Amino acid sequence: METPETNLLAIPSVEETDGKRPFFQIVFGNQEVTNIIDVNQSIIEKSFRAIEYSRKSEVYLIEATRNFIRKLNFAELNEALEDNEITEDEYNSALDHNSEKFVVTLRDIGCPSDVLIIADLVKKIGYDLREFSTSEVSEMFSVKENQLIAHVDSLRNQLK
Amino acid sequence: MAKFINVGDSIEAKRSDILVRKVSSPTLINIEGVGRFFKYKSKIRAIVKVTEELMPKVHRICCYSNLNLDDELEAGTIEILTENRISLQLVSNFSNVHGIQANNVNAFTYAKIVIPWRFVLEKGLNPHQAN
Repeated sequence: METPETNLLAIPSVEETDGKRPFFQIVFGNQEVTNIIDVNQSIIEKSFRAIEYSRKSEVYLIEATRNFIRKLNFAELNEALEDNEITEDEYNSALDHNSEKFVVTLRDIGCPSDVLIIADLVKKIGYDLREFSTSEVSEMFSVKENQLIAHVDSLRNQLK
Repeated sequence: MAKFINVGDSIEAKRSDILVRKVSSPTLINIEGVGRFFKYKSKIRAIVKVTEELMPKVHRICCYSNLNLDDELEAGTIEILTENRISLQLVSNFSNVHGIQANNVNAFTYAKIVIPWRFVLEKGLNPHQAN
């Protein structure tokens, strides 16, 4: 038997494993020990879902942070107006020309299951600092409140 | 005209009267496909009343919103969205003995009850669901 140049191999398989045909096997080890991992469709789908969950979580968390900064910016702008540091025209001009710095945009929820990711994130953030209203969650993650409530209701009904 | 006191009840108006005892600093939100609004949140007690109906009389934000002239929300906490920035004069009490000057808002107003009176919560009155 020839010694492979690398200790990592992917070998197409035709054997049945647990009634499911593996897509391929990953073989690794050395001349004394050989490890084989069967990769089937179920593992690929689970891995894909885990990657998608992580990717979307990151997107929502970054959006939440950006919205927090937007609210800080807007609070400072209001304070400046109230303290007469800027005029009403300057205030309006800032809002019109730099709206991205101040405005929290509420968008449609692309996929109904995204509310599960949002619910997970809110749970991880915890309720020790604040009990969030749906409106606050909607502003935090830039989603429309009515859709957030509708999707949560829909998922809850499916679980009944 | 009607008075609404349940959680989730909302009104939309071309012009409105607002009575508040305390209000939070506004945030600025853009509801995609609807428009940009200044969002206020009243605390303790608030009344928001339709003084001029929308023209055309079609809801913009919530399909369950009440749109009739003199429709009124009254509750502990109300979220208020207006198209223009407004300065709200706070009312120290809601006594009817002395007339109270309401804030006349000359802009599109959407208001929704977030926290109703305690007796409403205790009765578990919540006939509405969001669209």
